[in-house]
Amino acid sequence: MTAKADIAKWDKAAKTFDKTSAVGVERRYGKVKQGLFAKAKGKILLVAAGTGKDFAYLPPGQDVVAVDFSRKMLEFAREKISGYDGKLSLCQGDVQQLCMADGVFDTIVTSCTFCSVPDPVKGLRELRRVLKPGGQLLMFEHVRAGNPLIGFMMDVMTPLARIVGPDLNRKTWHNIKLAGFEITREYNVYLDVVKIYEARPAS
Amino acid sequence: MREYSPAFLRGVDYSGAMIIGVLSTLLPHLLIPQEWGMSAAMIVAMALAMGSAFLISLWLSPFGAFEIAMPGTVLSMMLGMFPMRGSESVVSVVLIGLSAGFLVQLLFHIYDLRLHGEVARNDG
Repeated sequence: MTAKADIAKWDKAAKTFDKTSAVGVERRYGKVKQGLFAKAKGKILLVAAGTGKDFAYLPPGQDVVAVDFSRKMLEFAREKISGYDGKLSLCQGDVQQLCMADGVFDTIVTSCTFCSVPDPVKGLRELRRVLKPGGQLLMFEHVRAGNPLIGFMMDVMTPLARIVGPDLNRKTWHNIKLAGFEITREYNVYLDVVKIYEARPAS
Repeated sequence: MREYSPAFLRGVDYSGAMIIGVLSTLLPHLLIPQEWGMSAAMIVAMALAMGSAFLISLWLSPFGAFEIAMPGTVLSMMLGMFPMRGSESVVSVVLIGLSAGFLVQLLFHIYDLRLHGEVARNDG
C-alpha cells in the first residue's frame, strides 16, 4: 500500500500543481500527449489523473475512469470534468491495489505516473490485471537516461527530486516487461528520457 | 494555457544554459578567496554552481522540466570542478560561462536530434 507520506506529498503539491510542475510539461509536450491519447478507445482508465490536466487530451465521446490516490488532486480534477465531452468519473485509489475487477478496460493511459509509484512493477501488474486481454497501454513517461553519464547524474539527483516530486531514474522499459506486457512501440520525445510507450498484455 | 513556438522554447533552453554557465563561473570567481586550497575551492564552487543551476531551472520550469535542468546540471558540475579564481577579468569569466553554457546546450540539442523518434530495440 502506498505510504501516507507519499499521499501527503501529492496532496500538498495539488494547490500549485497546475501553475508550476505541470505547466512546462504541457507547454512542451501537450500536442505529443494529445497525439498519443487520441489512440485511446472504448472503456478507458486514466491512471494518476492528478488535477485533471490530461482530460483535455482524451478523445471525445469515450467512457473514462480517472483514478488518483490524492484526494486533494481529485478535488481540482473535479472542476475539469465538465470540460470533457464524454462520460468521465473520478475514483480515489492506489494503482498498486486497484479496486476494479479483472479485464475491464480497453485502454489504460498514464502520464508521468510511474516515476512516482513506489513499486512500479506492482502497479503495472495491476494495470495488466484490469486491462482486457486485447487491450492497450499508452504511456507518456520520463525515465532514466541510457547514457551512463546522464544516467549517473539522474541517480545522484533522485534523492533530492523525491523530496518534492518524482524519481528521475526509473527503468520503466524493464518494469513494463517485468509486469507482463509486450512493448509494441517506443518513441523518444526528449533525449531517451521523455518517452512514449505503447504496450499490450504479453500472450 | 499560453502556447509558445518551438523556436521560442529553444531560445529559453539556450538562454537558461548560458545564465547557468555565467553564474557557475562568476560566483566562484567573486566569492572564493584565492588562498583557499584546490579541494575546498572545488567543493564550494560545485555547490555554488549546482545551486545556481537548481534555482535557474526552477525559475524557468514553466517552460520545461528537463531541457534546462539536465544541461544545467552537467554544466554546473563541469564548471564547478574548475573554479576560476586567478587573475582573469570579470569579462573573460562571463564570456567563458556564456560560451560553456551555449556549447553544452548545443551538445544536448545535437544528442536529442540523434535520439529523437522511434526506437528500434533488438533485445526483445
